Amino acid sequence: MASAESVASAAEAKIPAEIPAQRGSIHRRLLDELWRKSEADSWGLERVEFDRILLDAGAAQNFGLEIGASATPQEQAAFFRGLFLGDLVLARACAAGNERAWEHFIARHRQPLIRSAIAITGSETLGRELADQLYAELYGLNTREGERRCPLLSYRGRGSLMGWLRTTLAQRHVDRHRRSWRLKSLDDPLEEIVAPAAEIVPDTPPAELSQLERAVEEALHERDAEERFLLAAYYLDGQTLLQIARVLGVHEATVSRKLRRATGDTRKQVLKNLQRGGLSRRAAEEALGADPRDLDMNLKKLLQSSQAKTFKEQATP
Amino acid sequence: MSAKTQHELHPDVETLSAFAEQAQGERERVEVLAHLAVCGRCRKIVAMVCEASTAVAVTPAGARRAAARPRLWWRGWGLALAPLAAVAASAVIAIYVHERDVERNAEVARVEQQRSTEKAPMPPQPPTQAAPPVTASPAPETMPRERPGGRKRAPVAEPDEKAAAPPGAMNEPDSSGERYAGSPAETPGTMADAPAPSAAAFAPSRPSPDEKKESEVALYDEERRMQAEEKATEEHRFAAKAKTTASEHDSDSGSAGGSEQVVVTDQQLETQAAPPASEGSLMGFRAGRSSAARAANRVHLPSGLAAISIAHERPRMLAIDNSGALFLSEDSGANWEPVTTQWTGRALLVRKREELGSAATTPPPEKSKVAGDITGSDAASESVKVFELLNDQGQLWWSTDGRIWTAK
Repeated sequence: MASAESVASAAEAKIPAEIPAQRGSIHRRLLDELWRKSEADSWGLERVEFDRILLDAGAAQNFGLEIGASATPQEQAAFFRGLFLGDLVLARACAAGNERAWEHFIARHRQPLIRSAIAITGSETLGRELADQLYAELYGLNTREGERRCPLLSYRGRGSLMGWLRTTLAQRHVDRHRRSWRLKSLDDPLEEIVAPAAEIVPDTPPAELSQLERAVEEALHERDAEERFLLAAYYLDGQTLLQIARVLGVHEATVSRKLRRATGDTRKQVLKNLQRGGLSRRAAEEALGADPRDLDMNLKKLLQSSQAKTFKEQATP
Repeated sequence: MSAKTQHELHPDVETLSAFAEQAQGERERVEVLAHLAVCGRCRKIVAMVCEASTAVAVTPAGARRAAARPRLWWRGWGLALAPLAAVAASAVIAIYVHERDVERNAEVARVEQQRSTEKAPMPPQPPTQAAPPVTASPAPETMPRERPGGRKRAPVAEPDEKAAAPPGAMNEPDSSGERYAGSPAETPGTMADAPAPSAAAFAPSRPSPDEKKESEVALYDEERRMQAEEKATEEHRFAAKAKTTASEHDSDSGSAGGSEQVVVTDQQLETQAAPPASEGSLMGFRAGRSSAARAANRVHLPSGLAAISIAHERPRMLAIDNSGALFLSEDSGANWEPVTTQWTGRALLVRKREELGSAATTPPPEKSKVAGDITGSDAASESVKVFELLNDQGQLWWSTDGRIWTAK
């Protein structure tokens, strides 16, 4: 028991590792505290099961740290204390088929789930259909290899259970829309197919155009993640300042200010890149005044060509 | 790229959900933002989630923060708003009622003061000119004004007549006249020295056995009382007549002296004790008045307010305070107890009167009282002391014990 109560070293908490081996790495008092806080016993969960769920959640997310980093006991404790333990044990109890847990889940999340689905789809019919479909999945009607599978098992308590359900609904809706969009007939107008313009002889020399394309590409790549998100959300998705502000959790005036600064900095960077390429300042400014239609560049593709290393690595088995 | 592979390139639901709820650390947040910058699908999902959470108005992160922090102040106070509003409304009503009472008291005090100021300097007048009802009737012309021996017939104590002439009422004689019986002002010589009207006013109500017309006088007085009663029903007329007749009644005021009926305003006190018409009687009047004032000042009512009217029949005392509440004491003012209001309006005056024993049980007692005043010792021996209460509408109530009051 002395080992169970000892504080684990950062090396011991390294992820991924065998969960049973890590069980003793978490301070027993912390687990006791989390056990009492979660009220997991009210859903019929045993203490051993609760410990395993916690360790599973911590290992799956490396306690919120970068992959490969070792979590100190303090970081582990902070991670566990930041979890939505009540929602986590409820989800696991529902996945385990606890009737009381399901009653509680329905009473607490059924109506918000439907309202969220209606808000996401913009249609009550589609919303209810989407919510019912997800609800059936949650109840474990889907089976894989003869085993009942419940999506709630993938919930690990980083956000709230309702937020997780809402995100799942949105993901299902977007994926379904994209699938249905791909199945659309060619008679339907395609959003991303732009009819080629008539042959127009560009005013800007081709050499300058190619230089401009390179300069823009480099400038966009030098933007940080938030600025690229702002540019993409505002100029590519056409989201409003308010919508972007809600995503970032800031005021829309802040979004406006950041957006203006991002565009201004990008323009300056493009000018710099052009001058660095051998153009004078005046020539660079004239090149910036080129007709965008003359540019052979896809900003959407350009922005989305930025590498999201984290998730590519995460996807690696 | 297969759908599965494409899906695995995106952050999982858990991560996107935590990002939308801003439940991630800075490092994770930047990672997700970097992905969102290049992934239209995830941007769309996150935007939808944020829109939905706003539309549903249930933000779990906000709910968690709300659960962690104490309840909003206005929600906590919300339940207290209803009783608070009730208390505020009660306070407003109480203030309104209080101010109305203050105004009313001030008005009463002003009327009382006006009475007293008008009463004091006026010279004594003949009783026939004292009250308009009397002057309007031809009967007073035939009435004997002065008796042999310089003694005037005692004026009949009539509250209604007093209502027609409040100053007179304030100085209305006490029917018993006991206190005057032994006073120097009551001596024949003193009375003879006094001017006739004053003598008539201040003469004790002692019946003369040799008068034959006393029954007629009683009838006459009864007529006067009835006339005055009709006039006493209106409060404004009460006040108007109080002004016009104050001086006239001053002469016969207190002719029934000896009673300790006291009317006290805040800074003013009047007594119904009738001083004699002579100089000695006037001195006695002043002395009686000051003693009554002292008596009023000595009274400490349970309400804490000043007494404006006191009457007592030893050992029983009655007092009215500034608010119109009536208090009774059975031990000459040592202990007081409130009397339940059984009258309408606001009590202004309480006094003691003497009635015939048979008449005291059945109102109105005026008739018997008049007879008792005039008919001599037999009737006087059966007399009963009663208390009278006058309200601000000029109406009278009477009681034998000070507790149970009956309207006249």
